[in-house]
Amino acid sequence: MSTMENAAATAAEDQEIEEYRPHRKWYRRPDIMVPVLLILLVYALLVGYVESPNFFRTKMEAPSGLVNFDWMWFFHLIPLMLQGLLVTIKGALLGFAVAVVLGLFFALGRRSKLPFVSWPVIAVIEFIRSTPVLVQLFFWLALERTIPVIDLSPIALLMVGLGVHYATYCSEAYRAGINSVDKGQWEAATALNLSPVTKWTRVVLPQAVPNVLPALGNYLVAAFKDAPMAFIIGVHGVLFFADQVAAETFRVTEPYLIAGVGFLMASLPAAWAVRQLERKIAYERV
Amino acid sequence: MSMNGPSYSTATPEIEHPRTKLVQLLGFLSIPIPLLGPVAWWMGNEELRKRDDGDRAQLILGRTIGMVMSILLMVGLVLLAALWVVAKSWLLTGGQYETLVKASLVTIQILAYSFALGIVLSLIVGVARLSERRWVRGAALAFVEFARGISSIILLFIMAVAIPILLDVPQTSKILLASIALGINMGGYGAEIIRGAILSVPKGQTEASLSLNLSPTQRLRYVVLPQAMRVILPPMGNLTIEILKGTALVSLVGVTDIMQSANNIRQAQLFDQAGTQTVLLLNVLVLYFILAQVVNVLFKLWERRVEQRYKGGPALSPDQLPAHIRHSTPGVTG
Repeated sequence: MSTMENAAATAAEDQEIEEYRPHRKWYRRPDIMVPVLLILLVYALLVGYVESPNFFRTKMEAPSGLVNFDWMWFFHLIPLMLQGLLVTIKGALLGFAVAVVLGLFFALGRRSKLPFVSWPVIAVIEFIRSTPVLVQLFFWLALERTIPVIDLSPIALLMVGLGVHYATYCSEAYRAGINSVDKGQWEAATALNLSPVTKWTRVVLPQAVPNVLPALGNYLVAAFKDAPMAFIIGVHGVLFFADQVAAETFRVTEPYLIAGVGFLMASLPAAWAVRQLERKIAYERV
Repeated sequence: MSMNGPSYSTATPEIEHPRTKLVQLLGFLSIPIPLLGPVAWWMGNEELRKRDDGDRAQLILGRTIGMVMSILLMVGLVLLAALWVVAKSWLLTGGQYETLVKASLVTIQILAYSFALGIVLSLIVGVARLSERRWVRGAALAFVEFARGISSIILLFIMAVAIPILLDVPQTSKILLASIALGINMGGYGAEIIRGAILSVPKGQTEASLSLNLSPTQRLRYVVLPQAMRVILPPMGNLTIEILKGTALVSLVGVTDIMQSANNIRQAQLFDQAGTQTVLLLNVLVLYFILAQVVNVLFKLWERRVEQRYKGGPALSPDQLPAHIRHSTPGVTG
């Protein structure tokens, strides 16, 4: 009797062990794949279908200069503002895609044990981090004009400028994440004689990157907040819209205010989503 | 040395080929001497194709360093050549430097104004976020969300262009309006820093000061904030550098800061047909970098002072105590 019970218990245990698969491959976990696919979809839509309008022209006649603020005109500007906002979002996302990849290389370079590698990388990171992104954008524009071979569109320039600037921030986040990987993991990887590539791609980075996701999300929001200033290099984003409408109609109040409102409508949900992510990851780590 | 069959007793298996060492040496040498980069890259590739032994990782390392250095070499050479062809120089003239340094005083002025406003706002809002009253907390949260959510450049345009017309405020001082925008932006971030720092002070400190019957202001001024300073200062230094970077934006609303005078210099350059924008902007970037490092060093010094105060001195004997404390301490005579 007892043997049968034992056997049943073992069988149940076996089944339970078989049922419980916490280490599924990442591409078989719906909680990872659904957001990833959604993000990719939105990304593809933004990059593929958003095109920057050449000019923002209002269909309604602007109210006369006697009124400080006209609600009707304010609401009339919303569709134009949304067009500009989409371009800004696209620029920020493209720039951040560069930043995420480049930042990892900056972080690895900074961690290098060779002083010949790490010192220049540190110098570059510190230099880029402590200079204004506005001046950097102007600099990239001037550089692009100086070298006749390179011909970049404004949004590609924004991508380079924002990408390089935020790569330095991302590298700091990655560095913190890599340092937070337990020492025993490194030792185990050495003990198993894993090659450097295997050690980094299969042991260190899979543990480091989830920890830095909230920080990266914060930097994405920050990059989004810096993206409107690209109107100086000719990206037809949300501030370009406000600038152009103000220049054409001589009314500055409504365009800038609607730009601010639209911007908040986009950045507040993004910040909220990052905070949810932070909470979720903090919960998982406990 | 001849080895017949695998021997596990020898201390070091000799798998390191002399050419592996050469590739690695070339790779490392290519860092100070980038011209060797392509050689190391090519040689490592050749060796990898020919041999398949335990040296692969070292060969790949040597080859990769060579590859990276040759790429950097190429990019650097192209940049240098392009700049040299167009600009023929790396520096500006003395008069242009003078203009930039004078303009940096305006930048520092804006930084000082917005820092002052930002500190005041972040103190008020940071404390208000921990208030017991619900509506105070809510209002503070709304301010923080607004200040952190909006782009500083859009806020700047609203403050400096839209608000004066909307409210019929005379646009006398653009510097002040721009500083208010940057200060609001800093206040939002600073409030969160100060809130976190206040929360990080152990609760016993607050309870002790309550039991000593300190007023809330005294509690904050003499007990909580001095201890929170250690947590506040490092992120506050970073935030100040962010605001310094943000001051470059005021050039867009017509304040003559570093960036705007760089634009003016550019106009003069175009008129004189001398100098290039790339070199000019590179120098402007270096100027901002120097300013940021000054701010950084100042905050580091401040941090060290706070740290020393926090550490405290050695315990004093009763004789070393100040007189008014010595007399009021029970059990100590004289």
